[in-house]
Amino acid sequence: MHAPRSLIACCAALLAGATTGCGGGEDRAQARGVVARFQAALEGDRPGIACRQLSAAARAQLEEQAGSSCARALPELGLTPGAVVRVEVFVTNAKVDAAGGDSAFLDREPTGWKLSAVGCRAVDGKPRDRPLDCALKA
Amino acid sequence: MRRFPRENGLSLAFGALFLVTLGAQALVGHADFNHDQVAHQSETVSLGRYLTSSAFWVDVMENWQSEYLQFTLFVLGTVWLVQRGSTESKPLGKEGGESDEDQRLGAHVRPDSPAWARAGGLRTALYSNSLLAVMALVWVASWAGQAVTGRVEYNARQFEHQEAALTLGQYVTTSDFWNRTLQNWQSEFLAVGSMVVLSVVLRQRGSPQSKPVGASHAATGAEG
Repeated sequence: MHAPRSLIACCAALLAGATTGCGGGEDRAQARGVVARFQAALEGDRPGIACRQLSAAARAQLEEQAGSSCARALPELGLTPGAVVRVEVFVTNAKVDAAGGDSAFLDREPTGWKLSAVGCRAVDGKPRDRPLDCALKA
Repeated sequence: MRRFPRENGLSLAFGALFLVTLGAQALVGHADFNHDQVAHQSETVSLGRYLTSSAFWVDVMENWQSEYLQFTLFVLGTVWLVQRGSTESKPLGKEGGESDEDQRLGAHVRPDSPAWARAGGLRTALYSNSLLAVMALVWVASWAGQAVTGRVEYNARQFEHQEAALTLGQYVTTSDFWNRTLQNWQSEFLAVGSMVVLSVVLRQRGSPQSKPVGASHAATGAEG
């Protein structure tokens, strides 16, 4: 029942590294950039470029639910672009909040950050710990 | 050269076991993490990135905190509580901080007593509780580390399900935090309780954690 002193010292030293793991500034910048490109493409009537910011699963989901190509279906979602006001990154997942109240969720895929859900809003009367309602989610 | 390992075999063996198993945990944890990433069509990460991520550290921290809580409570509990017949207990009637004579303090210090035991005053008071203080400090630090890294890991899963991130204050009230905490605590308390009780009637020849094989079941605090 006696813990070796060397073990305690070792544990204490390693403890210093225990708080790492949040997304770094580079991840936040990349996630913000994806949302910016997505919004700029939608506003510039270039849905093909906007579609390339979606994850493969989100794009497939959109095409399945709309019964048409992503480029045709995406503008029909009626998303309202807004300036990015907050970016949060945790490990390989991110959430970007826009000024209009919409949020987008991103996954870090092998090809970089991609949107897995867009047009997400908290629903009135719904507890805070419930999923947001999204115009599109993978 | 041979004298050092022979005289420190217990520390060296457990130190080596710790490093080997921590390394093994890192490797299998990395494989498990990437397996999950592939299943979610997400990016796999390098071993280096995994080792600096909260996904790795939350699993390490939740186990460390419970081990140090175990030792903290055991050190504290055995000051005041006894168990008849157990090697983990001091003899009945010795409950409490004991006399200066028993603790080799004051007029009873010896030439080889540690300097802070001989110093008297605040330094001796601090040294008299140093084992408990360090154990408790590491417990609190690693539990805090579990909270910080657990929140990051929890929020990543929140985002996977289009849910909002939690603050640290919110996270420490979640079932996730307490499930991670209590599943470790219960196992530590079971292990300590088992050792206290089983050492009354069971023996391991040659181990100081056991009474001598021929010792009475009623003998308390005896070590073989």
